[in-house]
Amino acid sequence: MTSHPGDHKQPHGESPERPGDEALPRQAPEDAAGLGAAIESEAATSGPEVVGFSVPAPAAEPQEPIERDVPRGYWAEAWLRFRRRRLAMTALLFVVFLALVAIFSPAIVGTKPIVCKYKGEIYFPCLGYFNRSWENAIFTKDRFRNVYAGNLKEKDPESWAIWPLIYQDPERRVREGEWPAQPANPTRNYGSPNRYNLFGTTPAGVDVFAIMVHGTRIALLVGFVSMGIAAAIGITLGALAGYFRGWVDALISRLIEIVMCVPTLVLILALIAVLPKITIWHLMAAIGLTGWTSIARLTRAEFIKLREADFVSAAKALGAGPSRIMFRHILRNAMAPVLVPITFGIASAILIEGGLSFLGFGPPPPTPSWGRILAEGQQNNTMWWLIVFPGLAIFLTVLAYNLIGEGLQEATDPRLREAGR
Amino acid sequence: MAQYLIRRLLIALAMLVVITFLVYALIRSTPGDPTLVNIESMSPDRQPSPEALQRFREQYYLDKPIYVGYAMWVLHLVQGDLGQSMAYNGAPVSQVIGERIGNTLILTVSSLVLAYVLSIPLGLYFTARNGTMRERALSTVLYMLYSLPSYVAALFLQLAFAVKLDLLPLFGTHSDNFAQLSFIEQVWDIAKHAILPVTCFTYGSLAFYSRFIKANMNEVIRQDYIRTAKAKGVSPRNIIFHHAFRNTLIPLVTQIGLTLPALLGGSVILEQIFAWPGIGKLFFEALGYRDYPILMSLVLMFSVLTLLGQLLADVLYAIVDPRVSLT
Repeated sequence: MTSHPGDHKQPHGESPERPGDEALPRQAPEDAAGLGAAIESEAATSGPEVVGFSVPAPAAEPQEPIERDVPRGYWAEAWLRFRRRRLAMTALLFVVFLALVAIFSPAIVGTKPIVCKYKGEIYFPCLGYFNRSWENAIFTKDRFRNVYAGNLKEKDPESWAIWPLIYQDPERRVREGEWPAQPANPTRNYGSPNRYNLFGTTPAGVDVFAIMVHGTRIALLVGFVSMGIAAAIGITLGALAGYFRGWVDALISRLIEIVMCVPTLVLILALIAVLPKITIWHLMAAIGLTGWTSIARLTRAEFIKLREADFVSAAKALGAGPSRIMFRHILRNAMAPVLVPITFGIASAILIEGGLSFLGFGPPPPTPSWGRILAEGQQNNTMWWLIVFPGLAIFLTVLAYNLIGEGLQEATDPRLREAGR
Repeated sequence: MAQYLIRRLLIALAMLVVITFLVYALIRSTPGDPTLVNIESMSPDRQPSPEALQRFREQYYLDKPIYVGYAMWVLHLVQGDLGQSMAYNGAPVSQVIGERIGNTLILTVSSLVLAYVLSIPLGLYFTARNGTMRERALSTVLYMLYSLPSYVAALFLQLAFAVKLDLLPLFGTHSDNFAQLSFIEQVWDIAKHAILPVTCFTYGSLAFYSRFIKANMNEVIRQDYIRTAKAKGVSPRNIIFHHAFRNTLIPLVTQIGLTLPALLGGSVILEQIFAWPGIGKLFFEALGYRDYPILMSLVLMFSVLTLLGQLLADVLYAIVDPRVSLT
């Protein structure tokens, strides 16, 4: 079987999963660095005895039917290896769990109904937690003042509503009599965890559990958006430097070193300080604009390695332009190693956001943020629940991304892979 | 070699100019005016006269365009003058930094020494017992520590040891009655205050270095000369210590170069949490005051150390490993 190494559209379906198949480590066609020939011989010869080596062994008779040895696609192979690492898989599940919590945060805890029928129309007021403007203006006009419970029935006896699982709000204190049989949230340092406030309350009486659940959204968003920005900058610059070399490389390499030299905090704080009003989006942009160096360095290294590969010469011979070669041919082969610093970058972006919020440079108060609960916890250090829960949340999230990053690294780096055998 | 050094130093110098100019421009264009920041903190009855303000502006070239101000800063710098601080009663910057740097060094040096001293036996243990239950458990714990943000750890430790158990002071560098204590008591007092911050500084690098040593050892241990040593009957202990570990010392030593900036820079967030008046805290305060002479000096110090550290790492690498050549 021949496969162009620059093309990873491997037919996944062609290699049916069999029991025992997974125990057999095999060479993936990732060695695009000029081992194209080995792949062909691999398909023909790799019986169990050539495990782990891409040495052409023409004399070896295939002991199994040929189609058993059709190599999996690169990504399928990597996924298989990743799946075998229990810690990395647990971490991935944890991140999926966090994503679900983030998406369904208004349905888990909130004071706005998920769905309600009001004056003959169906509304979804809980969307207001995602974006203020998604909350229908009729509720502002009818002066609900963000309190739906009670007001709904009072203003329209015909109305009905489906409420979140827990009646608490991440932005304000729940008062006496708002919700049947639920007392007002305790303020100051009386709000230790109880059956109404699972994780306690802040000194102002806001429910910590609600802030944590809604803060998940911010934490995940920070990770993805800021690393998205960083990846776009890092991959573009790294690709240019690694592909063109020469003065482009020198210039970009110096730029990388400069950004690495300036302390991240100065850069971020200065970027933030220039703006009149900080929102979470500015924060993400600032983290992204400072966090691309490791991605750029790795992309550059991969491009330097791959630009000499045969498939690049082939693409050149076919008349492909530089941008096509860079982003369609080389980048596809370099994507897996580049994913590793991106994953680690997500972890550090979450860490930085927490730290900035902790120092008081985070998004302004109505935005729920894990780091800001920590800051309040430091000022009121007898309220252990303000430190333990958000601290654990930040820790576990950072840990999860680091574990995923490490799992990816070992699943995609052939050198480490062999070490693991 | 000499040619290489000269070229690297020249590039570094050019980069320093770019970095400092960028930072200067950034600080100058941030909204808070240093004169205004200072007035805001003063009481209303002690407002400086407009003439004094004007003098202040002229003294720091705030009335001039950014590039002129920067040029003047460089001019003073070349003459060995870091300038006067704005927020610290006009004290010379070098004096302000000098007062703080000792505090930071107490934390960073002791944590660096601790990290190296502890991580070497740990890393060797990991290699020798690779794959056993206990090794895996310990590695996992260390990896988790590596992911534990230092500010979270600091708050947890404060909560446990200072608030709940009341064993150690919550923050600060020394007790109120420090002056009355005898010398030994003074040392003990500082040590007691330093335990928590040093722990926070150390655990991350401890995890990093022990993993680093383990990774390098695992690489070395697959080399042919280790197999040769095994074949001729060298004891496993001897192999680990004499044959393998010596060869992993190379990357370990070069790592020291890269720790230089952190050594003198301290940590903004940790020093803030422990109210430890070191360089990191100074930096954070100065940022709030827009005290650009101090900020510029700190950034200069930091970037010089970073560039120097990278150069040092490369040169050290070439010196200890003859296979590497500098061109």
